[in-house]
Amino acid sequence: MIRLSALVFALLFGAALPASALTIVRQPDPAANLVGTEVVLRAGLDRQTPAQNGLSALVAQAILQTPVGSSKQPLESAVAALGGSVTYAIEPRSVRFYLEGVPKTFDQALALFRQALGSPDFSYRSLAAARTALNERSRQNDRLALNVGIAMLNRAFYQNSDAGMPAYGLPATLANFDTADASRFFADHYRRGEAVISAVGNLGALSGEPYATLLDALPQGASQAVALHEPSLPSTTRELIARRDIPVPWLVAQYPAPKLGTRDFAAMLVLSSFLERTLGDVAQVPSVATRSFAQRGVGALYNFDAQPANVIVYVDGGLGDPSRTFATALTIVNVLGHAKLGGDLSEMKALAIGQFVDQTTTLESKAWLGGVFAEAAVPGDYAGATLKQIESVTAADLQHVAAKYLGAPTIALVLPRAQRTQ
Amino acid sequence: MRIARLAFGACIAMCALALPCAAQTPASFQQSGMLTGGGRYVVRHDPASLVAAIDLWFRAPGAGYDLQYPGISRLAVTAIAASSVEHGTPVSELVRRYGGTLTIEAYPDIVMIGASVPANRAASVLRALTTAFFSPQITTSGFKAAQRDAAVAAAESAFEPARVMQDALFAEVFTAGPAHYPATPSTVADLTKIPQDAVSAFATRAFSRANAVLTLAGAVDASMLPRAGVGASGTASPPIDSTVATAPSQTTKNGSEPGLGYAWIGPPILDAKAATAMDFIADYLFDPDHGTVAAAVAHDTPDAYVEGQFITLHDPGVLLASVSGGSSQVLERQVLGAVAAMQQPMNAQRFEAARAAFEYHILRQTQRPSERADVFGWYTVEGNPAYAPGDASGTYLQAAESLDPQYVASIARKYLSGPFTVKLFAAPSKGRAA
Repeated sequence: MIRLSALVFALLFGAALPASALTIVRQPDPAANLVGTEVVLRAGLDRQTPAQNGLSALVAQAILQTPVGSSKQPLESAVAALGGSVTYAIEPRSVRFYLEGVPKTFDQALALFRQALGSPDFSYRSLAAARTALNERSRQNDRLALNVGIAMLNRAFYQNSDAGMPAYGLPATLANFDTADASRFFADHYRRGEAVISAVGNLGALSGEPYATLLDALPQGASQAVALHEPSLPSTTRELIARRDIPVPWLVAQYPAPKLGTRDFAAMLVLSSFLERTLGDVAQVPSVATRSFAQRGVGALYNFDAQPANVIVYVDGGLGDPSRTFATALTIVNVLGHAKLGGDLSEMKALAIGQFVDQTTTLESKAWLGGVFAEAAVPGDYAGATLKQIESVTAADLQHVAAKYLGAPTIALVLPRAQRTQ
Repeated sequence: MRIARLAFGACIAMCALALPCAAQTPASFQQSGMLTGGGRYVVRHDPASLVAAIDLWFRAPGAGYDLQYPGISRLAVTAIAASSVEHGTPVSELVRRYGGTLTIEAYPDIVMIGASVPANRAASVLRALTTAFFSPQITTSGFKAAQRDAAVAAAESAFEPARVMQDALFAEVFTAGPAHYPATPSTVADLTKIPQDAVSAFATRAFSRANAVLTLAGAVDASMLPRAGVGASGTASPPIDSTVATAPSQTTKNGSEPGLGYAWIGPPILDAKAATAMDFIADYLFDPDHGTVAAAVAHDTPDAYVEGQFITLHDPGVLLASVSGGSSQVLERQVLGAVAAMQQPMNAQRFEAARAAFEYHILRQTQRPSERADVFGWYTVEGNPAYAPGDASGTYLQAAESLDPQYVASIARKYLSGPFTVKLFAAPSKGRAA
């Protein structure tokens, strides 16, 4: 009864709901050629104990490999054969499944997903294949210095849960899990309560209302995070160091940041985009055409979807001494925190607006944003509301946010294996 | 590589096809025609988009009209974007201030500039782009900025294995004409020797209203199109083809890493069904994420990377396949063996699954406004605008739906034998010129 009324409410208003309810948000786009659906379940890293590191990913990967349909193909292959895809991401609190496909077969793809959730394959063979896939994914992640730096910082950032542990586990921990472990984790944490379904694209082309029953295979109720009470290690440094097979050093810094839905949210959007632009101006040769993410080498990422939220600032040493560039960023942040900016803020706001709307250009990113804002209980037209909030940011807001959040960062240095720190 | 996205293409309006979304996608989302005073336009309105993509495409040889200066088209388009027009703000600076992105791409026969900006900035950026490119002026500072940008692009391109391989293969496939030369030279010296007056002369000829294809997608509508009076009308260039070699060749070269490259001459863009079959083959075998050859190589040789694409050109198109990070005989057999196997009809069930995946990949690759503007621009300048994935006629998806195993095999037999081959050996680092 609660679920049904909550569903109707969500369908009408695209709104967030009471904590125990399933939330459905929809962003129909009649001009889209595809349909996308994100399913967010509270089965992420903070549901693991330290001994269970990697179990969340193992369960999700096994679901993608579960035989479905009459052909008994793995879910991933079966959806691909219908003209679609299914992927997942492991996050601090949640696992996010994303299905996408052509409208004519999307109902079938959702049905296969529902079937996999109803009877996931956690057999020895399935888990062995899942481990292989996860180890390869970790290997690829480990080749990117930015990922390594962020992973190190997250370990230090999330102190009361397992949320900062490696998202896809480690070969040594993954090797320990068996069918019983995966089945228990699935039973405990794959719940309808607090789940979010974010549907985007050409929804009008679907033959029915597939979402009301999509998670019916899962039990009611919410999963519980694992609370850890580990004493903080005494330390006089806020620097972390790792070595990897990379050609140049990278510097990655992390600051706490305001939560989505708070007054400081929009000011941090403005501040982080300004920081990225300024770092680029300091570190790079000016360019006429815009550099792609892969070409940039410096940047600022506001992870407003994380809880607690944070800002990552990174500098690729291939552009010169990364500590010098980063020192410039620190100086800018200090100035912003101690003095109110004079003059026109419109260019700073335009940067933030440009970056925000750029995240809305694919169905996958729109589904993600819809889910993130729903989880944060931000109702209705989240994009329009965010743009309005950015427009109303004042110089005082920027100063307040810079002073409150951008004080002492934790810094990760990712160095080439052969290089010494001193 | 941008050209790769374009080559696979997509379809947006599928009205004549079986896909249910066809009925939901009114042709009224798209308008196309001639600009007042010359040039063509395509407008694709997306009511849900917060972003406007604005592209200008021109037929122009990347090495110049006398083929003397490879890279001149990139230099010219970049210089104009960086030049102040009538004491105004350069296009590049305007887009940057608005929080948008500016893209510049040069191909052997085409050059384009595209901006992606928040919806409320679309009219202003469109005005700036058409003003700058319909009456091209290059300032000294703009030219210097372009030289700097092009030098970075040149240095970077030398370390992009797929780009290096494509240039090497095109140099073999096309014995004369702009496609024989790299659109972006891999040495800074080749760019800095191009004088400003040559760039200005090139710009005056290439960038005119009549030679332009203006494509808009996303939060845009036809009321934004430029009126008459902006810029000289100029002359529209016909499609620019290059001379094809009479027989396949085998070449070895030095590169930054070992690699293998293969090229097969394919159908022209006007043979839509055959071109789509080539797209299908490229997707099935060489898509880096899903292709069967890509998967087999990733499994057997983890340090090697495979990609391939059919480049839909006016006449002829070219299927490229490249392996970077290895050049062993095993890799060679994996690529050529898989291509040879396509000459036999696929199992019907496997074919249906592969075609469904192919159509999905195409649609996924062309969902952003910038990607939609790109495909409209590319297919229009190459000479078959109705075949542009996403065109309201639905031509591309009709061609995809009409494929069957026998036809695909017949296309493989017709085009996919005796490839042009380039083998790259890793050169000693001190020997590099860049």
